[in-house]
Amino acid sequence: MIIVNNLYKTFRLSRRQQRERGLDFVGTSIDAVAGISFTCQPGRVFCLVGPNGGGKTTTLRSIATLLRPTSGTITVAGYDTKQQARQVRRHLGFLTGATALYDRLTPDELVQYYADLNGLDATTFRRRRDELFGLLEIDAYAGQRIAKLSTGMKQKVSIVRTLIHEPSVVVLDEPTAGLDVIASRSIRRLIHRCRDEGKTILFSTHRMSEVRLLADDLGILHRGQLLYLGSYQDFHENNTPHSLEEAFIKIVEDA
Amino acid sequence: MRTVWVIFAKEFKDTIRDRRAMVMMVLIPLLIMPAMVSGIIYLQNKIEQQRSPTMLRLGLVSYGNARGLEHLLREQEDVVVVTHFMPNDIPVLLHLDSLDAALVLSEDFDEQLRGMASGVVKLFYQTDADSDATLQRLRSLIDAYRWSMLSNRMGQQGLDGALLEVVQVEEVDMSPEVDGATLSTLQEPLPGLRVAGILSYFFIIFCYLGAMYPAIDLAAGEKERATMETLLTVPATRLQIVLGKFGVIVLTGVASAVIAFVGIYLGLVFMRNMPAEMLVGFQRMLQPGMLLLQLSLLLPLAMFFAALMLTLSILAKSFKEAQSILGPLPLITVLPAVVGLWPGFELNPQTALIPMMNVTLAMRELAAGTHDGWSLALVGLSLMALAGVSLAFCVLIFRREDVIFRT
Repeated sequence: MIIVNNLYKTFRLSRRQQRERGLDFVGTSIDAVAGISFTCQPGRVFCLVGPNGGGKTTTLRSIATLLRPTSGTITVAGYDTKQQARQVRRHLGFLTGATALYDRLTPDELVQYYADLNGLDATTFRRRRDELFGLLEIDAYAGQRIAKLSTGMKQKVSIVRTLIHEPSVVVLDEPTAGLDVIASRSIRRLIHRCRDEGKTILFSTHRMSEVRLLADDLGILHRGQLLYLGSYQDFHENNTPHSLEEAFIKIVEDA
Repeated sequence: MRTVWVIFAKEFKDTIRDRRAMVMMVLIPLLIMPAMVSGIIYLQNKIEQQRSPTMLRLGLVSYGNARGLEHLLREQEDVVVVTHFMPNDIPVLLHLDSLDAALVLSEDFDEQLRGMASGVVKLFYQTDADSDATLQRLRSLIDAYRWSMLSNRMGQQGLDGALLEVVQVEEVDMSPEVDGATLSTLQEPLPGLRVAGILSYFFIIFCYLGAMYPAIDLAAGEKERATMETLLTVPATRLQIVLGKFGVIVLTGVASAVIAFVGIYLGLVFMRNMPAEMLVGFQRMLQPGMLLLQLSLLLPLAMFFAALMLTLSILAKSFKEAQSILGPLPLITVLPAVVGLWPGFELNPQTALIPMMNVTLAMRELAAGTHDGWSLALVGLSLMALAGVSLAFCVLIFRREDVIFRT
């Protein structure tokens, strides 16, 4: 479970950054996230939606212990991200927004590396590796250098890296961005499977079509504030399926 | 410790697959070193040839005898007298054209003269196009010495037929028997300043260059590719991550310097016309015992560089920025090393604390054979202490999110 309680994250701006924000900007810092609270339940997919620069990545990085909250608390799998960061990381699988992989390694070597860093024993690693590689159809290129793989293949390898140690909480930052339809579908299938296994899933996207296919719960984040928080079912019932995008835009523009 | 090893093993694998790093670490020292050494030798020989086209490089082993002869030889403008070698070094020195000829006086030379007998001088040479001219010049020089001694005797003792034979020259042609000969261990200390200077410079430069690309790639490169972000979400401490990366950078720095030494060795094997003093100096520094002592300096030096470079690389926004910071740094780091070669500086508790200068001074002491364990240990400890401080600072800034996400 992930519990975010009154989270604030403030970034100090350099003089150059202040100048870049124009004459209207007053102050020396910005609140990337300003007092948001939400809970992601086990066995459900929480979808964080919002336009670029809305605070999604800051929120996810804070949950992944990469950023320290300015105020407020975050609990992941029962551990506080400030006080028990290492325990949080043991229970967390985090997929960053970029397909961040080591080009000179093979998928096999990369996944083994992260399994070793997470302290996985050889038997569990082999079982998990075979299961995930089979599910995402990676076996055919498991021995090739990552540099030679396509974007879709790389993203699949990233997802395996994220899940190899069987984390109970999975945080995915735009996992299907830039992928073709087939690759996106296999990743969505895997997310569903994780949900069915009782994992807590939090993923961010700015595509409402993705939300429609995956979300159990929904949070719309804009300028650091949650404009909508509730179940996707409620959101859907109040907006016809073809106008979800419009509903999202309306909420953001009205803010 | 296991986590550090896992990170180290992966980073090492990643680094040896990086072409740029391998070019800097292996190819450049291995290919450039012999080229640099031959370039230096070529230039030196060229300068000597320009000064005097018929410069004679003469080896002299006098055992402290016949000061007058040595003085006479040194007075000649077209003769370079080389003294720091042993008689059994002569075959190799002649074979490699480091000497044109060598004179070896008998150990009882002066005693024989005092007893009104003949002192024996052995003249070693190798038959080649210039050997006739060389022998001619040497014979005339020895004749000059012979006649000056004879004149002294005549003044002191009166004329006697036996007294005319002051110097008996035995000429030995060494041409056919030089292959396979090796240089002996020198028993008298060498100044070796030039050799120490060259070696410490190579030491520092190649250790730095070999470690530079891995340092950039493993910190700034990882930040730029966003792989750092994923690495920081695993249950490893920042210290463990830094140590794993640090270990690889140290290893590449050491490996690069060692490969540079292999390059020097290859240069020596295939090189001709190396000045005898340099050849003997290099041979001395490349002996196993001396190599071990140099390695004991190299390791702390590599640790110091690795900690410094890793810190700067983590601070950099991107690969390019790290390159622009670390690229020109050797120019600054070499300065104290050069100062260490100036006369008047010596290894003491104060200079042992100045990085780079302490390495040069320690190498100088090694070359001169005047080193002691304590001073080398002091240099090593001071470099390791500086590396420790840099590493602590590195871990500290590695914990700062504004540094990690500074792009």
